[in-house]
Amino acid sequence: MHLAEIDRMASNGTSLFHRAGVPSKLLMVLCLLWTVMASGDVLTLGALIAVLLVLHLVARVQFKEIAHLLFYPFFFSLLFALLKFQESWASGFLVILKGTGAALATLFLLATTPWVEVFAFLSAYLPGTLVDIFLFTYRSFFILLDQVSSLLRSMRVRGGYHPFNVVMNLKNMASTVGLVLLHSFEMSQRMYRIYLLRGYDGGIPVARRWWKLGYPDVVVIVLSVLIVMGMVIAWRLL
Amino acid sequence: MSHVHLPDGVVPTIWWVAGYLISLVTVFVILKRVEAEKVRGKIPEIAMMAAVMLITMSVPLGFIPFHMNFAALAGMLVGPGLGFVVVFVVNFILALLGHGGITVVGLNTLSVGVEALVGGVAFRLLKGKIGSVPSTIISTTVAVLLSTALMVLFLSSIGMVDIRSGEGMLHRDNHAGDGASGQDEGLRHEDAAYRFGRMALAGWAAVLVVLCLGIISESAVTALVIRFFMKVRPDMINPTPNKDW
Repeated sequence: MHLAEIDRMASNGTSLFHRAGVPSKLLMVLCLLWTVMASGDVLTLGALIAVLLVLHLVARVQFKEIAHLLFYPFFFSLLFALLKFQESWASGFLVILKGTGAALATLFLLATTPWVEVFAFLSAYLPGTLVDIFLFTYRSFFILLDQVSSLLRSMRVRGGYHPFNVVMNLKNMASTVGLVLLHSFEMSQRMYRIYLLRGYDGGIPVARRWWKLGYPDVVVIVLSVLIVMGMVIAWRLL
Repeated sequence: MSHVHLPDGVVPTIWWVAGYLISLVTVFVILKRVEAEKVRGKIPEIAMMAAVMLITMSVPLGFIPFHMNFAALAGMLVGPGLGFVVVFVVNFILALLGHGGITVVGLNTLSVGVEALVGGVAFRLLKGKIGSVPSTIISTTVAVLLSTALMVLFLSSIGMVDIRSGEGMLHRDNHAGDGASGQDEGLRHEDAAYRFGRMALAGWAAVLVVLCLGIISESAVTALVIRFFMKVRPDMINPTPNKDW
């Protein structure tokens, strides 16, 4: 899943993009997403992906993790591109570049912004319960991840997983999931009681200091405007 | 099981905007309907279910190109409505990580959320009559079939699949638009049928095999998990009666 690695990059990074506030980065990612979705030619999309790669490079994001995560959008774009290739090569490449470009944009946000900050920002617009579910899911994911990986490791070591024995895999998978679910539900009840003791009454308090625009925010906003302008100018020229 | 791995830029804007609107409205309505006090107590449980779904979705089942969803299981364990909310949360997180486009989150939530809604409701209706394990198998199978049907309908609506023939829409459109003479038309038709026969037959056959294996595995694992719960914590499957969504 690579969520842990992405989170580590987001929390430990010191680049200009890591220091920028959530609203400015969200604005940039929305601009990038819009330009990727709206562009209709391979050259513009290629240029946008080049810009995204440079942004990743400047943010010192580990390409190994990003490349793993990009495999999904690339592979599934390729499946749809195969249909489009019957029309023309350009149509096929458009599908691949759009899928990969959009994924690169969202990954850039996650690799430079801790998850909690993203949802703290969204809490201003989404129902508190939903934001709490997102935050608890994030926390639960990391708690369970170690547990599941050690369970799966012990299952493999004891011969409980075989690539060609689906029936055995299913049975063992069911036991593993059952055990993990049981343990996680018990843990969730404990966690809820602890939160109640700490004063939780439906809404995890989050600090918002987004009105302060620093130098990194200005750079990010200017970049967003430039990206959109570049896209609009390209439209006019064509 | 029926998670649509569509990348961004493939689905027409009107579709993904409608998908987002419908799924968000559904999530808001569900969260409004449940009592704040009750849902607050269930948040850690919902989050754990979402985390388990996120983790299991990344575990492949050997050589089958398939991963579990456990959306029906979520509907059974946390309730059909809250199961739908779990599906939304999972799809959103997955999309941020590139597993399905960010614009397709709404449509994915609707398609997979149906599994949670139908699976949860059917399980609640059946478990008292035929027992937990058989009702799990039936509920999960029905839920996955409905969800897959919804996905195929959607894909056919945007021109990715032709339900009647299995032929790719784009392939057919190319022939329809070229206005050739009768003889040429006949030759092209023959050519298309041959190409369709070779390509789409293999494609549909493969899809059906994966679909059957997927439904069987999802139902079997969900039933095994429910059986496990019935042995160790039956109170989680048969909680004290409440009107939770």
